Amino acid sequence: MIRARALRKTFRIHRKEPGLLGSVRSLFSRKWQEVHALKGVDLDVEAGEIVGLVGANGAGKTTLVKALAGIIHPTSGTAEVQGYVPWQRKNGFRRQIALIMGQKAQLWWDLPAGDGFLLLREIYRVPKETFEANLRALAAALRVEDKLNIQIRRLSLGERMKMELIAALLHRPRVVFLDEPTIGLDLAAQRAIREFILEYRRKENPAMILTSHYMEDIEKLCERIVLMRDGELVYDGPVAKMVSSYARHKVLTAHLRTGETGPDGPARPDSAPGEILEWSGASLKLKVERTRAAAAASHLLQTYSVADLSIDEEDIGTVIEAMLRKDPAA
Amino acid sequence: MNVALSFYLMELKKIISYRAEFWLGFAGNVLSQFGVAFFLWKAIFAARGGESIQGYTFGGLMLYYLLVPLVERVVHGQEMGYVSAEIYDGSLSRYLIYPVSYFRIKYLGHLAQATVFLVQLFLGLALFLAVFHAPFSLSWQALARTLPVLLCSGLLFFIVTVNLEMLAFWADNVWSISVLHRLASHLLGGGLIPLAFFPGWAQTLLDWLPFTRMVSFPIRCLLGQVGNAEWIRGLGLTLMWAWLFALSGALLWRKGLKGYNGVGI
Repeated sequence: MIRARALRKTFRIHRKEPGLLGSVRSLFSRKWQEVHALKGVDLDVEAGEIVGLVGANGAGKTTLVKALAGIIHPTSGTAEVQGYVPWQRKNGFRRQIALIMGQKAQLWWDLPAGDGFLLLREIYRVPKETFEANLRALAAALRVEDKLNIQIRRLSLGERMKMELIAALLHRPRVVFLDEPTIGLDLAAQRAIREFILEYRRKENPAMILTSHYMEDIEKLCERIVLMRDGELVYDGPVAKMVSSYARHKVLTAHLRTGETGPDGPARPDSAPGEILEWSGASLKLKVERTRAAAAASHLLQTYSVADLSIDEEDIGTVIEAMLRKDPAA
Repeated sequence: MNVALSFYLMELKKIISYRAEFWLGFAGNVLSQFGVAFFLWKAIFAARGGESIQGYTFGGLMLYYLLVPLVERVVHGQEMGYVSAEIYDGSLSRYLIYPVSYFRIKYLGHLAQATVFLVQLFLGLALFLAVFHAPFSLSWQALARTLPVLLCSGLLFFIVTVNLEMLAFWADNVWSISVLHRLASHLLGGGLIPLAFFPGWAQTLLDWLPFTRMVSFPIRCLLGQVGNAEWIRGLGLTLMWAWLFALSGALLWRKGLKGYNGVGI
């Protein structure tokens, strides 16, 4: 479905010193800087997979998506999407893909979504009956049937995003690129969009690449995660394996019996078998090294009157953040 | 309905949804240019005396100056800056994903805008005839000749504009280049003063250049001043220039897209 090998992209960026003098200087001589956005990326995505592409700002995620969607030419390397070279932009390729950019409206701002969808039907040559059935199903799934005749610019951000999703999926693409699809949305809208994406995957079995800064998107939608740092892939594998392999800590939460406190009374304990993340007087949350989790749990049970004890993996966001920082002490 | 017609109708719907722009743009643009010419040439005729200058009577000149902004609006179509803006802000990206030519979409937008301006052209003419009782009647033959000329002139203007706007792939700002292009086509095409006021050698030279095809040629066709042979030659020259600019445009597009980054990394 998607296959990229040694994909590189170098941008040449004009650097201008600040201030009037810098502007005047740049009229006569310009300084250029090369930015290596992709440094030899290999990636394979199969049908039915949702791959989470994660990295800090400027890591190269969007560049990779743009190259695979055929928007930009890479400096070197090869890629195939559905058997096509993306940046040749053959119509056969473009009919099979969709790109949803949460930060950029793709529908026509001045028109009701319904008019935009009709236009997309012509662009993708979707037969009328198929189009109507698809639109009915997509609008019902996202609960926007009553908003189709309202100008896009008069819709809320969440409603606009839902319309963007419908617009992108009306032609039933086999490959879907989702760039920050839930950015700026409230929790209910985020949840609706996630459920919709999973439903689309279940029905259509496309290959999907998702970039998001919301860890909940990654956790709920992706079984596989690709971490990017400075234009390179630093991890490509299952989310669960990443946590078990790279998380150096576990989180222990002890809820104390009603009316009980620790040996120090209601005050925060002076010492504990790990870093105290939270202390409320009735519960204690600790971050401990994985190898010492059992000993720490035993210590808590002996020291406190524990009603309930849980041992959890570290938050996925913390693990990713540490991996992206090259921090071995995650 | 095919994709071209759908795009054309969508653009038309967008334009018509801005009612105030339809009337204010028409009144502001046309009347301001016409007003300046009216008072200027009234003073010149009063100072020089006589019935005509370079073959133009005062009424004839006023008709010409009314037609300049009306015809220019039809030929120019959309406001400038739409292609460069999409390159700069990255909204070009969405069109690269659709299985349809970007320039086809943009040209249909141009045509839709030109259609609205064509309606305004006839409204303006009707208004002029009602107010001035000018010695001018619109013949079916002149109209039949003018419509294809407007279509071809609009195509030429669109292609030249797109060529210049594609410089946005390399330059940080192409606004001034677009302004220069409009100024040049207005001045050298006979928009500021009719070509009859230019020296003979300049008229001969300008006749071969694309600018006159975008202003004075369609106006003269509408006024019934163009014979069969000149009409065919004029159309041929317009299409030849359009073809040449289309070739350079294709080259710029191919080169430009290789460096396009769609904004951001």
